[in-house]
Amino acid sequence: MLYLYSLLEILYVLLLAPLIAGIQNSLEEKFESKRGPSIFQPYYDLWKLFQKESLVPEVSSPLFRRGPYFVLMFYIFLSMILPIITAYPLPFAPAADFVGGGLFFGAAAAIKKFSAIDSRSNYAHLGTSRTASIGALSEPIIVLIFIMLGVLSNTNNPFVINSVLRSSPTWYYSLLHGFVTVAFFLILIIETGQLPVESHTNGEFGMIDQSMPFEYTGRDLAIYKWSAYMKSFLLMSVFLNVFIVPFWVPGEGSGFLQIVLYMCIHLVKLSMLVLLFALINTTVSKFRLYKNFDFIAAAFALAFLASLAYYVSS
Amino acid sequence: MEQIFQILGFFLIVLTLLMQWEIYVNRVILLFSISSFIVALFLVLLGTSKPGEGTLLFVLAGLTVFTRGLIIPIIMNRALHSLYKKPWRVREDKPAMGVGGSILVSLALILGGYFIYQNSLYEVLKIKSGSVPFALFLQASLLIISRKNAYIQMMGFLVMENAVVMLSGWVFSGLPFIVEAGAILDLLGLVVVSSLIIRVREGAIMQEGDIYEKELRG
Repeated sequence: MLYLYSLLEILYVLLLAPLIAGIQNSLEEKFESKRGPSIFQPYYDLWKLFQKESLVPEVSSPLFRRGPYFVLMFYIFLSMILPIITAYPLPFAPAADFVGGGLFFGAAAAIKKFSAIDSRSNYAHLGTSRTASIGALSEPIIVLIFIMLGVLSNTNNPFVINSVLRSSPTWYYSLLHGFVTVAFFLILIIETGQLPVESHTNGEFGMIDQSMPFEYTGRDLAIYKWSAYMKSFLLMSVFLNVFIVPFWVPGEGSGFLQIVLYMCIHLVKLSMLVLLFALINTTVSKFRLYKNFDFIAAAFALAFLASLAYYVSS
Repeated sequence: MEQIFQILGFFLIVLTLLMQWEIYVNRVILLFSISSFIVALFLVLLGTSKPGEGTLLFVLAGLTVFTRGLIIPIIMNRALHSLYKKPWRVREDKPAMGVGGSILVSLALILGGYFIYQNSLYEVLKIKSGSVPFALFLQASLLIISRKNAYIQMMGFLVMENAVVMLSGWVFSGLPFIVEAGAILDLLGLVVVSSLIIRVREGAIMQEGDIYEKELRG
């Protein structure tokens, strides 16, 4: 039965990740008093791209084509090991703890960068350089956040952290948890490409992530986009289930129906989060590229204050 | 109650970090006003937890709200309005340090404040959160050093004073009340005088240019 839940978890992430992106896009347009696309638009886009022919730059190596498939594979693996629909570890969860999960996210990002560079496009290089610069500073902050969560729960296991925060109001309402949550939210903004860090336009000055797949077409681009939706879905799920709303996640012994019910609740939680992102994206203007590093400094400051708050309050 | 004090203390630290982020003077004034209200709230809560000194702390909180939360920001805003046509656009043009750098230095100072306190006063007072005012004090000094705009430097000085009020209410609550209240009232006079000096200085610079500023500096 547990293997069935693992399969259910993969299908849940794989199939509903584009929906969450669609809801956010639709909300943003509606906030700007436009009719907006359907919430199913990402599915239509993926379907269209799957029908199209893939073109590959002559100068690229096989890595260029295989990159998006490797990335998708990593995200499917991450779907099995993170607490998304259950608060207890499913069969593959012991494969990696929080740091291990972070390494898998990092590996997927590295493959993305290598494949983008392999296209030999100037724009892809530009995006890769910018993503790497930001990632080099934001990833240590993620590590610091995980260390502070480790302090909180004496472990690096996301399932245990979820359990500690659910059962202990002292930790849930602690300064440490508050700072870590806000710091992770800022990192989430960076990693999922929201404003004020990244706008979804093709303006060269602001492009970061969206210039990396410039040379991808057809099915390869569809896979690339799908994995990007999955990454956002997974990170948002971690933020919701581990950091900010660790409640109602089905515990050990819960049945199939409870898990399906929670999947609906989780979708509502995700919709609330993308509503917040849509609000931010329609009210905040984009930072200049170099101002992004100040944003990262602010995230670091909060993660650092979490550690100080722990020492002051212990 | 100790946890609420810590939350308020760390909120003040975050507000001071935001001041380092901000370049517009009117927003820095607003942030200072908010931080003064938090100091007042802290004093009220402290007063409720110390029945013997409650009245004095409530009066001190009232004075803090009146002078630091309202009067000083109003005076400084009026000075801005009388000097500039677009006061909301008055900003720090060339800070000595970038935002990211000043945040990182500020963190180092917070850590420094914590260690200084832990290895000195903590042995006597045994209040762990007492390091928060120390950290605030050092952060405010950085705000003064890293900015060239006279208004923001003034704000840095006032944040320093906020830290002192917090420290005196929390750690040295036995001090005569008149010293604390007197310091706050003196501050009001100081702000009025400083605003006048800033107005004269900025007015002279706007009329005569940078050469006159050098002359004023001596």
